[in-house]
Amino acid sequence: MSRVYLYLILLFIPSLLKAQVDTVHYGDTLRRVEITRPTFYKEEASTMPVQHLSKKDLDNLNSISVSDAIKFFSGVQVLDYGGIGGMKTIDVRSLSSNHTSIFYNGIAINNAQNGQVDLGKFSLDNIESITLFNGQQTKLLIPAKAFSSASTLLLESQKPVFEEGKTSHLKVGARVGDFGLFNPSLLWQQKLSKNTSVSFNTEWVKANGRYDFYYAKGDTDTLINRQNSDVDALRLEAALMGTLKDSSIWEIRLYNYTSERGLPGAAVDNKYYSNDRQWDKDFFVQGRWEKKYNDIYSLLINAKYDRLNLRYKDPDFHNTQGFLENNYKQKEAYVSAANLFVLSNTLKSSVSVDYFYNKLDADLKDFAYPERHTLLINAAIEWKKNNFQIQANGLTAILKENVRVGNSAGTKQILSPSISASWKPFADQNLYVRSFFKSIFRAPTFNDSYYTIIGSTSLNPEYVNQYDLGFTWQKAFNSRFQQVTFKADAYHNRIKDRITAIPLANLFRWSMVNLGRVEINGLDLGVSGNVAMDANINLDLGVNYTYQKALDKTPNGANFNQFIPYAPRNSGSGFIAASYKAFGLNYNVLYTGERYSLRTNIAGNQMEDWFIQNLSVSYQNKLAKLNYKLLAEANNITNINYTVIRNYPMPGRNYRISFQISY
Amino acid sequence: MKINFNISRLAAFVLLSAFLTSCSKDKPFTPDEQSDPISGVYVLNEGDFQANNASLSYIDFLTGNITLDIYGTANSSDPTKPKALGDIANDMGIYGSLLYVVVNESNKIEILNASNAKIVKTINVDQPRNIAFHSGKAFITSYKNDVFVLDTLSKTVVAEIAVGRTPERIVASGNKLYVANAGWADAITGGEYDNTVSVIDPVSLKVETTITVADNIDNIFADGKDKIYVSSADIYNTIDWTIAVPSRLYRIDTKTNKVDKTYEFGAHLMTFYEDKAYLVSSNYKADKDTFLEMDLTTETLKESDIFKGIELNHIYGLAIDSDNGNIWLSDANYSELGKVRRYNKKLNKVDLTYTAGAFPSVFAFKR
Repeated sequence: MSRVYLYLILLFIPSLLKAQVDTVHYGDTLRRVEITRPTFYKEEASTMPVQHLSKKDLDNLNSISVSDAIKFFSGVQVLDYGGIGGMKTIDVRSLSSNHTSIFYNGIAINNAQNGQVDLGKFSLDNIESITLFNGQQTKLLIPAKAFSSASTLLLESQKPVFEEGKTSHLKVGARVGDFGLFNPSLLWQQKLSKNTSVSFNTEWVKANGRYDFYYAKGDTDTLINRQNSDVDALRLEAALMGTLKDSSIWEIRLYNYTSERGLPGAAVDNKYYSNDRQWDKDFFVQGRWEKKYNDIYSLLINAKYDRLNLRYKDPDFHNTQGFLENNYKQKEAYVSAANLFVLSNTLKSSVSVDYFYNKLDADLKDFAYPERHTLLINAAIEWKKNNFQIQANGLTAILKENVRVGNSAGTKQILSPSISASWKPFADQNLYVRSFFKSIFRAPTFNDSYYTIIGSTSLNPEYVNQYDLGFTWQKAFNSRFQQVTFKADAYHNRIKDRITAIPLANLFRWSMVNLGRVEINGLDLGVSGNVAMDANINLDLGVNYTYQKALDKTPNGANFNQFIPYAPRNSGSGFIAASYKAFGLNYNVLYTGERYSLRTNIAGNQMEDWFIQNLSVSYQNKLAKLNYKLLAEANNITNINYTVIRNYPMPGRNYRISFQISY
Repeated sequence: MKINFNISRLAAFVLLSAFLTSCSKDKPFTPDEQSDPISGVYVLNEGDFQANNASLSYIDFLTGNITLDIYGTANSSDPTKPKALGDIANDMGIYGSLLYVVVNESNKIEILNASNAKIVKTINVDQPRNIAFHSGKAFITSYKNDVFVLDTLSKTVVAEIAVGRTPERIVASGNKLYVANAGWADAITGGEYDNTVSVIDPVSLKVETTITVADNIDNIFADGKDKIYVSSADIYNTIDWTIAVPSRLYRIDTKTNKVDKTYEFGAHLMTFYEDKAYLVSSNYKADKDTFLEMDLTTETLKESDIFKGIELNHIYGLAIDSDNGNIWLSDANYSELGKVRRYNKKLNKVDLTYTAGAFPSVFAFKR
């Protein structure tokens, strides 16, 4: 079996997990020294469920990367392979990572090779907000790509905003902590002219990544030190943005990320880490330009060039060379034009056309060197009257692949519709009822189609249908108890033609096939609110809970009606953020219930539930013209020994201290 | 098990009796157990990759009890917290009173007391694959392109013998050990397959000679007389992943060390009983594992009807109880637990079927 597994290693990043928090934040920007855009987020009328974390929320959640923060979203599992450098991907409502699109400042981040974006690589240092839509964004002037996934995660960088009379903003910070973490960062924003500004941001993350965990050897637990989980990553980012005379807005962004990390693998008996290494060089440049020509027509142009280089090395691979090394190079070119037509007070429509070019090179013998052309054309319409709005869209995707060696997956054309609506039944109540249906697909990745031995060019897309019914109710009070928000969504998802690997004639030859159905019934519940105890003390709190039943419904399958892996029935999160004058105290929790690590639902495959508590204290003040902030964090304060992915231990109790000065 | 117990045991007994009289710091490990009846069988469940869920089962013939995770429970005082055997258990064998379990991804050999599966000693061996015994020593192939030699008395590694590239199965026959060198680690990284069998002398602990057979040979079986059977694995066309060179079975005459017969199909499992060989081929018939019966005297081959009517997924383990000719077959399924079946020769029917662990593969009969 071993040689087969070797092929499977890079291909299989298992799937699925659970956590959350969504918050609607009102005002309360007074104590914030940093000036950012108002955090009020108009989500209540959205026809699709949306969750939002503002900069302030992010500060309260003991998070250093995007992957830490999104664990607090309802209906989300972060597949966390542990440690600072371990891979972390998002799984929304048990549809698997490949069904969520991630947008960075409006433009999609893709990985055509395996469809997985490692959110651990995205620091929160310069992130202003994170928004998750089940389904898609509900505005119309967006690229066609934004309609092409089952869920959408939006990451927005801090935009330059200058205080009165200032033309520059500088922020310097450093974070140190357990695992040998050293994490300095710098943000410099400069106003170049009345309508143009530049932003430069850099961050270095260096950590030896080592931590102790308990490995259960039967009745005794042995303390083991997890090694080869170091990371050394440098991110450089520059953005130039402004407004032109015709009021059109534009932005150009350069992003460069280089890293080296250990891949410790599964901690198995007698081998608690492996020696594999990975090097990444990610670079992209992206630009956007948006112009409102008149009251009827607006145009949004997006473009991107992206290059991902990945080098993987297994020093314990005993070929004549003495190691296994593979280099993968991906390139992507992207252009998009979105057109918005405001047809009347009640009717809007948009047409978006996107084109992607993707290419993968690998130094594998007789590699296919696939390239893919993707054309996405979306037409959307929105009708809004009084307290009712309805949106519908149709997305046509045309995919064409070419290869240099062997057979290509050919050409595919897929039409995907969605419809959503929201209704405010009572004029005097902030109650919004929403519902959506969305049908979407994910195309086979380059690995699915062309990977050594197991790739199959005859794969069809994997299809997902989502049905959702939910409501949001908000109430503001003229008392200490300032406001409360309730949210609930019930959903039903169906996956068909799942892309999965199975053995063919014998167990020595596996291949990717479309096999299997999954049905997921779930319920996301959230309550949040804030309380002003007195003039100085303010409390924000929130709780989220997700129930889901994600069952294998493969006809005649061996695991029919069993739970799919990494889909806990119960999961939840909660937080309390208290502020008193310049001090802040945050307490947050994450819970994930029992789930299975493999398809067969036997006791041996069951994973224990876990409950993690984090705490942080902050102090911020002003010294002369400098704003400064001190933050001390204690994570996993009860020192729980747990795993998210089986045999990938998570760190126990750990501490971080950070210091930030801004001008 | 792939090796022939009678022969290896006998050879070991003969060769070691002299040694033992002069050096008996431990209890004799080859008692005259030949006369004891087989009292049960261990079944090794390979487990899923990186799942750390390899396991060892035991079926007691006297009581009929099946202990699914005997290693886990025997080595933990708390039955609710069984000890994990490790990741990808590839092979095992009983020698003397001890059971040796080869756990590939866990880089170890577990030496267990064969009577109760309790750990006697754990030996670190890099990427071990398969095991065979001879002359009081255990010979373990390792992906380090070595055969580790473990002295079964001192339970220490006494030698590392360099063999071919990516060695897979090893078998004892007569007074030699034979290693199938596949060389796939080079082949999938742009190099060539190996095509040789390394012949090891168990006394000098040296490779005496190599026999060229065919590319990518990974299985090797001994008939207990003077023939060994070597099977290659499929070789794929690296452009479209169709089969370029299909799996084939080769017979080597150990008197001449030459291939004296080639079969138009491969065999990933093979065992011998009373002038007959039973084998499993994945390409005797297209797209299906076939259970075959070969008469070694007449050299005739036929599809066996012993397991006819039973739907088999992937035949992953095969062994014959030398006391009574009962045939044990394991069936692995990628998406669920495997199944183990026993064909009772006397009753002429499959009289035992149970759900095993993940990927049940190797059997070891205990006396």
